[in-house]
Amino acid sequence: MSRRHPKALAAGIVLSVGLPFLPLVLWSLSERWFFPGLWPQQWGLRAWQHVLDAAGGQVASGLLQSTLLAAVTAAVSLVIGVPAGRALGLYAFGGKTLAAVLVTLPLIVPPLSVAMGLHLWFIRLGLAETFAGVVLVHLTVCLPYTVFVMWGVFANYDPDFEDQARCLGASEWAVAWGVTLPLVWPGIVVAGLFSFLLSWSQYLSTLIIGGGRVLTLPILLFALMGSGDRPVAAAVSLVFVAPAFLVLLVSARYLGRRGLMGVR
Amino acid sequence: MGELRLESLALGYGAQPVVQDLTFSVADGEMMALLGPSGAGKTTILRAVAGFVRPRAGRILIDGRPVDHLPPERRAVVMVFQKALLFPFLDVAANIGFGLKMQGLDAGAIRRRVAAVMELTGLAGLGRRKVHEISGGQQQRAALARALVLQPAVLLLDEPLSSLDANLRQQMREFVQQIQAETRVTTLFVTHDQSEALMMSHRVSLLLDGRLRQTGTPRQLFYRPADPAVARFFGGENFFHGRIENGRLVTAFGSFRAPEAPGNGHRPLATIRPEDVRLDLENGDGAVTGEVTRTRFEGLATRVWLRCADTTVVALTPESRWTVGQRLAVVFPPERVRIFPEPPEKRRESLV
Repeated sequence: MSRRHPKALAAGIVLSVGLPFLPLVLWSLSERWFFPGLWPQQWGLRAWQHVLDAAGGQVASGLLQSTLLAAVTAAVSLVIGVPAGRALGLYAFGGKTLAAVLVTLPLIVPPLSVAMGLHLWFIRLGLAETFAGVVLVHLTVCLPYTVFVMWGVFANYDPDFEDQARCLGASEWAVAWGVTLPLVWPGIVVAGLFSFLLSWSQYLSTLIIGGGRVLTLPILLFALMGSGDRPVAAAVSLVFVAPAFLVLLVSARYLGRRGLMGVR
Repeated sequence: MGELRLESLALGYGAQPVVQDLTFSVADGEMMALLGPSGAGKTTILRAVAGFVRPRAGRILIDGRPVDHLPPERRAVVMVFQKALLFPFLDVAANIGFGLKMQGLDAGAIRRRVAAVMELTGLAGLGRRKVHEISGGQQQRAALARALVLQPAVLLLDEPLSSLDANLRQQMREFVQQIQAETRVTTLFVTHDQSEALMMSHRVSLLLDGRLRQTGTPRQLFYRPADPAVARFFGGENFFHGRIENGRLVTAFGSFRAPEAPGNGHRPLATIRPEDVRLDLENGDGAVTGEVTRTRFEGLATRVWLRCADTTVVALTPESRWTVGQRLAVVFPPERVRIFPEPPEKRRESLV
């Protein structure tokens, strides 16, 4: 069916993904919108003016903070998760099951208890209310996903490619950089993206560990929503979703074109 | 240029020994087949020569120099794997030029040498193709080209043809043989296929149960197996004990001339290949006789089982006229009877 009607399929996807955003767009453009009106009674740009002008500085710095935090978290997550996924995917070793359980544990334990438990430790270690502390608490969520994605990638990876490159004259470094990396690159992109978006949407852990000092976009968003101003909350939500949406779109195109190459 | 020598090599994984006391050489420009059943440790030997497996004991020498301490990239040994393993993120030409790039050659030199080797391997014009855009046979040739372009001291082939279908495999056998003859690159190639080993190589080393049983020309292994296991591997049947009396081998079912026979009193084991056994209508002239118990048509030949006294003799004959129940003369041409040398301790016993 999808082969015969590619356009219908695409329209269906766009509709199902895009439709839920419509109320947000409408709310952000409304001045007055009361029940039972299907449309706002009065249109206006007040919400957008507030977000881009009055609260513009706050939103911009939140945007920057969120981006920076998500990027650093994703990078650290990859630096740890890629070797871990390789070990789990390629080698047999004692305690492999235990390692897998320990990696999953932060996903099973409620995030609130993880964050609260860590908070005590972070205060002692001087990590509470710091950027590094928030990166660490975000890693408890991002790292399991990175490890699992890379585990899957390396489970289907043929390490003979590396031996082949070695005997063709490539040093260990040249192999890692010139063979392994390009082979697992699509997996790295996916895992990095996961981490980025997970960190991007963290609220509770950022609030507890950051203690209001690390002001990410979700923290701002909740503050604005709490004030009961729906049009403004809708506008901030759209600002919040836009970068993540952009990243997804770009990566989907990239992955669709390249596919997973290192896979047997 | 390269002579490969393995000296008393022992290999294993963990507590599991794979190969023991392996000693053989591949002469410069020679193509040697390392033959053995699956799981005999052939690939492990190649991986040790390439530098991916550390030997437990023994040495590996190339042109007389030990290479055990060298990492794989500095051994001048290139291995071609069972799978072509072309890098999917590079086009065909870049794959073939990979090793030269690692050596730091400039782009122009790489282009020239890649073009030359692509010409040699019949890949001319495919350089810009993506790896998945060429056929399986072309992929194997590209893998071979990628190794040959480096002019390695020793080329290792790990069953590179086993993933191809039968027709293509036959073409590739001839192709690999021809390329090896042209480039005279010292080649050690692993196969479990005896006919492939016999038809492609100058010499064959047969590996059984982790030990090298025999090294020699294809004819030597086939017609002059060192022991019964070697003979069995090459399809040998008809093993029988006998007693030597005046140049004749006396067995339970008759006696026949045996030119290779040692002195009187020996009790050697002898064999004759099924296709060397000749069958004839009974002539009653002191020949061994047997009754046909079973026949099986196998295309080019018919396999005939005969009962001679208490021994079963198997003959493989192009004739298909024999039927079950017939009594036939069974002729063992003397020059085809292989008498195995007795192990020393056994010989002493039989002499007493």
